[in-house]
Amino acid sequence: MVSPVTQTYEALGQEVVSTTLPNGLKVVLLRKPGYQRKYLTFSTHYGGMDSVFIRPGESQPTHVPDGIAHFLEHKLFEEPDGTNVLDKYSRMGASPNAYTGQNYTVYLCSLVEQFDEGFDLLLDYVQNPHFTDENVHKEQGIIEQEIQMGLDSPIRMVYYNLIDSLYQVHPARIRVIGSVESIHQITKELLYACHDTFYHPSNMVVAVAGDVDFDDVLRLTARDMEARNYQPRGSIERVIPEEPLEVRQAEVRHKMQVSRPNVLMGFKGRLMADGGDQREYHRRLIGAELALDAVLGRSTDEYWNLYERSVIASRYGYSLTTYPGVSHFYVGCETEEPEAFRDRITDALVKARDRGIDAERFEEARKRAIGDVLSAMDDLQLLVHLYVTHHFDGLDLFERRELLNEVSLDEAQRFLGEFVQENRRAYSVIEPLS
Amino acid sequence: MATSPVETSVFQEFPLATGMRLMVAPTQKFKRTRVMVILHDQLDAERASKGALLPFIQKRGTERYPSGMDLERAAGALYDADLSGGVYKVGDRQLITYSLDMVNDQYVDGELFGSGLDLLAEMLYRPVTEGDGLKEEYVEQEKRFQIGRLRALVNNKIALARHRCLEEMYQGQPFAQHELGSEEGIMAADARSLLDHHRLILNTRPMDVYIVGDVDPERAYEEVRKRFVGDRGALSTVETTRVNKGVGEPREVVQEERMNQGWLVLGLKTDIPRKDPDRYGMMFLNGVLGGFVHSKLFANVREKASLAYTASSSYDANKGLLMAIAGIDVNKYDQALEIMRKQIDDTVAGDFSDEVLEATRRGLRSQYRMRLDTADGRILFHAGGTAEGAPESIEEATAAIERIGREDIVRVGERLRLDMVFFLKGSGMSSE
Repeated sequence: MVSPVTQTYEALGQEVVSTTLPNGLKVVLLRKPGYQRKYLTFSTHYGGMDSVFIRPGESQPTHVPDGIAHFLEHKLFEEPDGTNVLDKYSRMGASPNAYTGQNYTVYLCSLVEQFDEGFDLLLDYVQNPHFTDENVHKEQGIIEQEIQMGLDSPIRMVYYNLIDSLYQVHPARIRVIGSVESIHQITKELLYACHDTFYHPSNMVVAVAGDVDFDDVLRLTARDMEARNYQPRGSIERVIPEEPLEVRQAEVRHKMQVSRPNVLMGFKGRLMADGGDQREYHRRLIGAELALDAVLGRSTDEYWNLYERSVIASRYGYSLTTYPGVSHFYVGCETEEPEAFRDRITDALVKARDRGIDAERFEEARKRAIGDVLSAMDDLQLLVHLYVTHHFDGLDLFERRELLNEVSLDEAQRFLGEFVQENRRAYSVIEPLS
Repeated sequence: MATSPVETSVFQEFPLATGMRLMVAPTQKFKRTRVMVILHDQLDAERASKGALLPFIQKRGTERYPSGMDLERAAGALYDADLSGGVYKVGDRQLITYSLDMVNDQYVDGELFGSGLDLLAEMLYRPVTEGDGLKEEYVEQEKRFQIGRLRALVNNKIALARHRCLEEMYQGQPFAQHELGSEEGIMAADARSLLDHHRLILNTRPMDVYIVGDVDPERAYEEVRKRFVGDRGALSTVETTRVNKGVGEPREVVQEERMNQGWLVLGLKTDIPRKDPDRYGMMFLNGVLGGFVHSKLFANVREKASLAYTASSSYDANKGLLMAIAGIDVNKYDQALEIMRKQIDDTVAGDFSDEVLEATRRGLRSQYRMRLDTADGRILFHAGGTAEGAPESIEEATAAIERIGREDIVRVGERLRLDMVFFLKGSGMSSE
C-alpha cells in the first residue's frame, strides 16, 4: 500500500493527509482539531451531465435518460433487506445526506459519536445497490413531487430558463433532477449499468473532515475495499459535443406567481483552450472570479448606483460555473426594472472590458478572496464540498491561496474580453402573473 | 481516535456598564473571529418594525463612511471583514444584532482586530444623520425594500405556510408579527422616530457584546471597553415570554395559492416556558414526532404512505410552539391530516419504541455538541437562554438530555394542545 502523504498549508492553518489505494480510490483527511463534528463523504465523479459515455472495454456510447444520476443517488438509500439508510443513521444520532451536481454525486454523513459505525455504513451502502421494478416505480412518484417543487420555485425556474438559453448542445443543458417524462424511462437495468460504470473506486474519493486520525480512516476504508475485490478498470470516456460560443437564444420570459420580477443574465465563453495545464487553468479561473468581484461586487460604483436607484431590490448575486470545454457566469436579482438591470450591468461589464478593470477594486477583490478561502476552513461542509469538486475538476483547492497571490489584472482582463460579447449573452426573466 | 480536549461553551463575563456585558469565549479552532452586539427589546407591534429597519439603515453609512459603498470598501480592505446586522424574534423579544466577522490576524498582514472593532463601533453608534433624524434618503429607500422583503414571503411557499399558521394562532399578539415587522409599522416609521428608537435601545435596553475566536479575553475587554462604553440611561426591563396552551377544539383555516402542491401545517401550543425543565421533555416529544428521519412523521407520512416529499416538525422552546408540516398533493388533505394527527396522538400516548427514544437522545445530543463548532451557535444559544431567564451552558443542556425518559414525554404531552390546522392549498397553474 502507498504510504500516506501529509501536507501542511501554513497560510491556511490546515493539514491534509491523503493516499490512493491499489484499486484507485483516493482517501483524504482534512484535519480539524477541536471540532466536535466529523464530516464523512464518499463521492463519485458522476452527475447529471453524464448522459452519453463509453464504458471501459466497450466501443459504442451508452445513452441514458436525464435525471438518472440523481435518481440513483435516491435509490442507494434503500437497503436490500428493506431498511433505509436514513433511518439507520438517524438511529446513530447522525445526519446523512447526499446531493448530485452536474459532474459529482456526494454521499455524506455528519456525526459526533459512533465514527466507525457511521463510516462503515457510508462505505457499504454506496457500493451496495438494490434496485427492483417495484422500488424504481415508487421512487418515480417521490421524484415527481420533487420536480413539482422545483417548478413552483421562481429561483429554480429563472435558472433553468437561463441555462436552456445559454447552451445549444452541451450537456450542461440537462437538469440534474430530470423531467417527469425522462425519469419514467429509468429502469433497474439502466441503474445497475450506471452504478457499475461510475461507482468503481478509481472514479471515486473518500474525504473526511474532523478531529480524527488518518490511521482510522485508512484502516476502515482498506478493510471495506479488500472484501469487495475490485479489479482495475480503464477510464470512462464522456461524450461531450463542442459547444458553439453563440447562445441558443438571447432572451426568455416566463410568468409565475412572484411578488416582483426575478432576473438572471448570463455570459458564456471558454476560460482556456483544451489541453492546457491545470495550474494555469486554475489561475485563470481565479482571475475570472476576481474580475467579477471587481466589476460586479458589492463595493463597486455600479452596484451602489443600481441599489440607490432601487433597480436592485434584493437577492443580488453573481456566480461563475465551469464545465469541460465551456463556462458561464451569471448575475441576477429581484427587481421592478429588469431591463434597466440588464442594460446597466451589461454597460458596466463592457466598460470594464474596454477601458480596464479598476486596479483598486481588483486588489480589494484579491483580499476578499483570501478572506473567503480562510472562512471556508471554518466550515467543514463547505471545505469538503470545495475539496471534492475541485478534485473532480482536476484542481487542487489548497493551491488557491498561493494562486491568489500570483494572479494578475491581465488575467482578469482577458476573461472579460473572452466572455463579454453580445452574442454570448442570454437574459432570463420571471414576471408576475398579470 | 484523536482526542482533543473537549471545549466548554462557557463565556467569560466582563461587566461594561449598566445592563451591558462583554461575553468572551476564546477558542483556537476557528480561522475567523466573530463579534456580535445583541440588544434585547420587548417584541412590540409598534416598535418591532423600527427595530428591524435599523440595522439595514445603519449599513447604508456612518459619519466616517457616509455611503454604503464606503462602508463596504472599508470592510473589504480588512480581508473581507463581514459587517452585518439583523433581527431575531426570540419568544416575545426582539433581538437586534450587529456583527463583525473577520480573519484572525495571524493569517494576513496587519492588525485586523482593532480596526474591525473600530468599524463595528462606527456602524453601531454613528449612523448618518440629518437634523434630528437619520438620513431621509436611506430611510425611505430601506423602508421600501423592507416592504418588498415582507411581500417576497409569497415566493417561498413553506415559509409562507408556516408564517400564516403562526399569524392565525397568535392573532392580536406581538408574536403574530413577522420578524421584520408589518407593512403598517414600516410605513409609520420615519427618519426622526428611527433615530429616537436608535438612541432609546442603545441607552436603555439590555446589551451584550459577544466575542468567539482566538482572542485573549483581557485584551478583548480593553479593546471593547475603549470603543463600546458610552453613557447609558436607566435600564428598562424586558419581560420573559408568556406561554399559554389555550383551550378548545383546533380552528381550521384554508388559504388558496397559485401553486401545484399544498402545505398542511398543524400548530400546537404548550404552556412550558423555556426555563421550565419540561422543555427537554418537549424537545424529545418533538424529536419522536418529527424532528428526525427516524421520527414518526417522516416514517409514516413520507415513507409508508408516500403522501409527501417532506414531513417534519419543529419546536420553538422560547414560545412553547410546536409545528408539524407536510408538503402534500392537494387531493390527499383528509388522508394526510388523519395520519399526522394519529402520529401526534401516538407520540403523546408513549406509543414508540425504546430504540426511537434512544435515537432521539443521540440526535439531540449531537445537535447540542455541534453548536460548539460554530460561533453563532454558541452566541445565539446563550443569548436566547439569557432572554428567558435560563442561561444554561451547552454542557448543562446536554446533561439534561440524558435524564429524559418515556414517562417525561407522556407527562409533557398533557401540556400540549392542537390549536390550528392550516392548509395552504395549491389551486394549480403556478406558471403560464
